[in-house]
Amino acid sequence: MAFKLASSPHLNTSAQTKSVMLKVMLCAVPGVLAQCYFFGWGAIIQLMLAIAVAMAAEAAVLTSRKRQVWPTLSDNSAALTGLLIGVAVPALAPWWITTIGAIFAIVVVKHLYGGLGNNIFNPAMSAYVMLLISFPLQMTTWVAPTGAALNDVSLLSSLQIIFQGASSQEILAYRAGFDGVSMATPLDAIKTSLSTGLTIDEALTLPSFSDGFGVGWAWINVAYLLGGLMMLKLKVIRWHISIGILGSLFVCAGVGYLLSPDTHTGPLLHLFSGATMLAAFFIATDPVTAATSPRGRLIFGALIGVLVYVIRSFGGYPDAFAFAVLLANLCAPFIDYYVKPRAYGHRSSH
Amino acid sequence: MLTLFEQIDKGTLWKIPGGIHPPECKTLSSHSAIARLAPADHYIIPVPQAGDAYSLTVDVGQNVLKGQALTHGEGFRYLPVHTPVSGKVIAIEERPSNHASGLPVLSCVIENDKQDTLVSSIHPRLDPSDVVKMDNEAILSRIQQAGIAGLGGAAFPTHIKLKPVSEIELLIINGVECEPFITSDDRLMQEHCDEIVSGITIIHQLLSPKRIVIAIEDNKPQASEQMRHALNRSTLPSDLAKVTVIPTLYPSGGEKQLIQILTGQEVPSGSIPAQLGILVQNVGTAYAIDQAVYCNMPLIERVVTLTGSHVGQAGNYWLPIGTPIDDLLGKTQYLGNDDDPLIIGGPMMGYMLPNRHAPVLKGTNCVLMPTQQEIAPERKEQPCIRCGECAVACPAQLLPQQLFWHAKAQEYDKAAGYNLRDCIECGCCSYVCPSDIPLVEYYRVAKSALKVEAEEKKQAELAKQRFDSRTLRLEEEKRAREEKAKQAANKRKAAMSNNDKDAVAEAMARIKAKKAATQTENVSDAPQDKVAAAIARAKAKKQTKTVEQTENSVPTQQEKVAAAVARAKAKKLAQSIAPVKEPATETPDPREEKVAAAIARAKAKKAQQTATNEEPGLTTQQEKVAAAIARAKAKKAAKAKESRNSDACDAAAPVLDAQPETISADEAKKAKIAAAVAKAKAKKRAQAQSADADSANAETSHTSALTAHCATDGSSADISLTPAQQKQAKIAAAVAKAKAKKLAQQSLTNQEHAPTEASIGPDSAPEDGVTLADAKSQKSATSEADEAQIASPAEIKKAKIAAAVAKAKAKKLTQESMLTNDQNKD
Repeated sequence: MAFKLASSPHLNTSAQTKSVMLKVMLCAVPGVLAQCYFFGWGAIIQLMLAIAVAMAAEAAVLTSRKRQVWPTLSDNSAALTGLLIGVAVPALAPWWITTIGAIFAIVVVKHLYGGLGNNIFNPAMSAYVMLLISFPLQMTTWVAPTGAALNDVSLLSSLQIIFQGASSQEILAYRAGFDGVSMATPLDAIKTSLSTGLTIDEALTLPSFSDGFGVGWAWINVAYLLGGLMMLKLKVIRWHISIGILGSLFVCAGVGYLLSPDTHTGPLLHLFSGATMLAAFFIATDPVTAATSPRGRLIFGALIGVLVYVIRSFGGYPDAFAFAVLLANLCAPFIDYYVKPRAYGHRSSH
Repeated sequence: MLTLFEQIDKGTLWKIPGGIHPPECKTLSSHSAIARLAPADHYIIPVPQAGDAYSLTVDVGQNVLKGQALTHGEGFRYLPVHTPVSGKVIAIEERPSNHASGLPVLSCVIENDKQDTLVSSIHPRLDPSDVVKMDNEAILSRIQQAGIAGLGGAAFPTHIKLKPVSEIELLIINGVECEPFITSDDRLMQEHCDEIVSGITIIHQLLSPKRIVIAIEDNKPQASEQMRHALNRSTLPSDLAKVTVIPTLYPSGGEKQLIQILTGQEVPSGSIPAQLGILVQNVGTAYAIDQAVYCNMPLIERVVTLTGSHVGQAGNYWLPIGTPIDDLLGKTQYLGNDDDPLIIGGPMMGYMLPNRHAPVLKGTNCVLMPTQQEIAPERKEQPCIRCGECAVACPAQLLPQQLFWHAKAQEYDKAAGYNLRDCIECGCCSYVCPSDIPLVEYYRVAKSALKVEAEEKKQAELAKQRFDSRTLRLEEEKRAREEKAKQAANKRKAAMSNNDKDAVAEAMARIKAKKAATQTENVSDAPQDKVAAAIARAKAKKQTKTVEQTENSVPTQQEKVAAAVARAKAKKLAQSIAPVKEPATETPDPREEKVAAAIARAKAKKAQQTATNEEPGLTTQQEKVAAAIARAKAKKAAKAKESRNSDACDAAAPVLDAQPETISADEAKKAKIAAAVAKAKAKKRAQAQSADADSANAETSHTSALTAHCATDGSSADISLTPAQQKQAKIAAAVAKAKAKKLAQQSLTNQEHAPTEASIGPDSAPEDGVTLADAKSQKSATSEADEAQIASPAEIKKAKIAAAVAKAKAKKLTQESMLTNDQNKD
């Protein structure tokens, strides 16, 4: 009898880490497509670049750590990290921005902490924050989110801009919208407007908000929401973190808007601008760095929502998901420690 | 509980947390009726499944009948095993066990003679009315003797479960069978529903629960239908028992989960359902109970699902317990290879069988022979991504991920802190884990490590207790030893102090003698009457000695002793106390007496101080004799208290004897009274002695008083003895001796007459104040002692104060007497 004795259970779901990661990436497709539509070829180039660099970095680190490369690489976690970095950087940012971000995420944030499952911080968001602080100019220059941009900037010129750099005039040209006005992200625009004494209503008349929500960004958020709902349906993620984020952000924004409609953005604008849906469904739900119990995840999500609102409204950055997620990552072990479900047959959890 | 019953009646179901929906794969085996396989040639019956205390009742080579018990045992937990066929015991040896470990266990190997001759105790089915008449003990005994263990898989002795300490209000019959692949209970319920219900009726008869719920998953509609019909046909009241169909969800069939689904209650961690008034029994067990009680049929076969795509004839079979697994494979067209896995039990909780020669056991409900596609392929464990799916799936609401971290890090105490022991090992967490982590395996390792740890802790605790009790014992022994040593020391001390007293008395006597010796040369004349009085006293003392000491003491010695005493006293009387006599006579108050006693004590003290110095100075015969007397007296005094009544009377004797010589006609009465008092006191003292243990102290003080009394005599002698009258004293001593002898005889023959005789003593010397005083002081010493003996502490204190006063006075008196002495000399 030479067969190997396995321990029970002898059944397993088909769900595996690689399939989970793959599903997440597939669910991100609508959002990625929307980004491509509004920001042109640059978005997909950044995505590909980030994924490639992330996987290469993963392979390199695994090799240097004397681990089996393929089994780990095939779990798709590095690819997902690359994807998230790719969608987070501006579409026409220089190639080295993405490369530095992807390498930092994989090598420093993930593998220096022990690899998959052991990292404390969300790799993609850590990289994003690092880039945002180190290269603020490159990280905040977004092309005008318009479908026309797809036509304006050809694939070739996008590649040229990203990899060879472009003259400031060219960049300026690409960053300009139809009317030649430089386009900031809607949240950026609101923040700038508010700082120049405009009210929200006045700010919303800016060209960035020509469709009432901020050109393109609302659609991108809707696309990510769609992807998120698909993930929920596929049970790739649980609802707790996402609902926690969206719920608390909605409540905070609603309260702020009711108290001071002139200086506070409305809840819907909060939900459908910036990285809200992307973060709520694809970034904060990274299980490795989140709280683990359902209740803990709800708290974790709510914490992110509150932090996002606070930083967006009162902080120095127009969007705040990266910071909020990292801060919540810090709290996750704490939340896990104090939020334990009551086990069967026990009266209370403590 | 009432509302709960209402809800149960209403059919309310609760939801359990977690749970999974693995592929059921039940149709492989559920369609055909329970069949039988051709009998095997050999059956292997492991014996340790019998319980703890048992002995084998068969030997190798012995013929056995089908259903015959192979073991015999005592005790409530004992569970017998039986031979499933008739035949011969061909071996009793260690065989591979049907266990995940495959470790060999002692087994009886039965060679099947294929006759199936039943043992005589198995009888045709009884009528239900016969069973109703059986008392609980008889039913339980039948269940125990049938060797019924829980057939759900845990194989816990059923008769123990059926004798719960608390009242059972809800009986749950578990027909859930939530494990994939297994259909044995399903088929049993379909084909033997009436027997199952009959078994349930027996449990009802035993425990009379208020409700009976037969729980069946909704994927077994035929079984629940059949069970409903059977219930309707049964004698059980329709409002008491019902079939409840529950949604299919693994692991609903777990005891705790089933209770939660049916009642919403949770079995408290670490306790059993009986604590909630709930008992859960498997349908197969109910069937076995029916067989045992109605037919006295032991549990020798059970329904086993043989399933999986590697078996040609998948289905359910009545398999005799002890059937070797490899025998089954040949008879059911096993399609797999030798190295394909066999799983005992279901795919979720079953274990892979390491050795195919192992037999079917009472708890074996399924042998799964899967193809590689039917079970999870062997996958490499990947890092946990903390997805939390395990926590969602866990029906016990544990945090499998945290348990895993701690189990992997071997932080077992922390894992225990996450309620590891509440893990039911259902396998849901492992099932859903995307990282293919064998979580349950980690928990099993952690659990056994904790078990080992707890065992070690227990052992350590035991060792500590042993050590502690040993230390305590040693300490106690030490203390006891010390106590003993202390007691011994005290005793020694007491003895020593007695000896000291002896020594004191001795020393005093020596001093007296010395002084007397020196004084004899100086002092020449003294009144004769005084001498006579002294003689008398000496006689009395002498007599005391003769009365109480051994009869064979040498007369000459006695004479000498008496002479010496008499001499000493006579001298003393003659010389010193004469001037003092007047006040003494005129003021015969008790104080005076005390004073006298005190003088004595003071002198004794003084003597004690000088005793050691004086010792070498002893030269003359007289001195030695005097010393001997003193010793004898002291000893006697010490002994007197501890002796019998007669001794006490004897102790009083000196008083009685002393008086006659000293009294005059008018003092005779007084003496008599004194004597009577003394006698009474002596009696009283004797009573007190025998009655009262506390009097030990008093005795001591009494002894000291007596010693003091001796000292009084001695000291008074040493002050007053006139050497000139030594000769006269000798004569007097001779007289006194004679009298003393006479008196001794009298006192021995008739103690009661002693006072009378004493009072009419013919040789009563002329009255003398001094002697009277002496007598009184004697009396006072005695009475003081008496008082001390029966005295309460307060009285003792009082006496002490008086003694102190007396001491002071005594000093004064001594000085005065010295003065008078000097004056006399002058």
